[in-house]
Amino acid sequence: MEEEEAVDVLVAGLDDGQIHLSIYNCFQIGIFDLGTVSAQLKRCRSKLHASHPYSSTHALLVTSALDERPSIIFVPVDLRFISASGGYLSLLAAKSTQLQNLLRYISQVYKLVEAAWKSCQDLPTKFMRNISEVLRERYQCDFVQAAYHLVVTGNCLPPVKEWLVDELSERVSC
Amino acid sequence: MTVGYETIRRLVHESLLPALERCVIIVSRLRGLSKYGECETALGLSTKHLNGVLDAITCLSLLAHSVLNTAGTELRQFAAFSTWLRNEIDIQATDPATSTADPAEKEVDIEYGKVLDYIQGAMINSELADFILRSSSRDRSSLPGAHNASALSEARTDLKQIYSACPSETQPPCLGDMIIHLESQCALVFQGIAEAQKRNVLFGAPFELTTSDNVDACDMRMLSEASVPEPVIL
Repeated sequence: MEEEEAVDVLVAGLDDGQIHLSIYNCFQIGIFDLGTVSAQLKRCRSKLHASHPYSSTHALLVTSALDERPSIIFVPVDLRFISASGGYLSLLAAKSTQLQNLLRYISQVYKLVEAAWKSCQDLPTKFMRNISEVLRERYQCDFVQAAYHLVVTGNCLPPVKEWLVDELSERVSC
Repeated sequence: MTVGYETIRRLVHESLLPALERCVIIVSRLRGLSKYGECETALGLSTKHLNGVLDAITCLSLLAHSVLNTAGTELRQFAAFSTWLRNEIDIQATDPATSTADPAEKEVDIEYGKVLDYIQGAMINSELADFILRSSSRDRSSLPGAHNASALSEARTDLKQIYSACPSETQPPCLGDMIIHLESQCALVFQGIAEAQKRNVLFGAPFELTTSDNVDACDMRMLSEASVPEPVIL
């Protein structure tokens, strides 16, 4: 991972006086409300942006309509994190973005696992519910006991036999 | 059912575990950066939070391996069960017609031990369901929370109890809940980074240029003159 010497910065000005900063096209720095910087800048609209590759200070031109008095205001913005992070900024941004992507991937995989489990349990649960109801009414036992009995003794209760032959024979292999 | 078990095994083994391993690599890199003292304040990386993330990832991979284990065992049990079931269906279906036929004609190799295990266990109460399904009625306090520094040891104890078949009051942590915990730990890390970067953005004093706003066309450029770059507004 070579260290890049240039940082691409995206400055997005929103309508209500907020500036959204992100670097390297993927790492979000955050949203800044210009209204907190100065009362003049409440609810201003960004108009223009200017910067120079050698300077970490950017210039913003905003229009403000405060007190019905329209004006154009010049705001300098100093992005000190570019120099303060000692060249590790690209590494940090890349790793954080990779981590975020991996987290999204992991939760998607989990959703798939959950869906696979639920769908494979559907049909068998229905079958078991049917036979258990019948067994409970006629023999006061549940399917677990009847099946155990069948495995161990080979003696099959009539409703179980009907169920096996009629319903389950459609279920070839699952 | 076989398809379901195999899908789960494949997803966990081929997708979840490698993703977790990659996470460990990335988080260790970030942790190395955070331990390098100069960077800690500048980059906003906290070793404590990153350790929490590593804990959560370790718990999650422990759970994933348990899921693989359980799914494999239940798959084998289910295979034995379905062989037995098919055999039973054949026996029951042909019984009255061929009463003179030798019932032991078809010698099918059935592992009765596995069939019985399946009937008593996974058929009604699959252990995989505990790992996979989130239920709102679970006791939330038994889950490793962000406040709990020993999330890893808790998960390990819970899983050990399951394997030694001790009755335990706490249910095994569910994969979904663990993933939520991991995401919350990572959110703490990202927050720290974002706060540090935001702190380093300084807005200068605004300077009013003109009081009219009927300026439709305008342009602004920054030029450097000599050694001092100065903004020049056109």
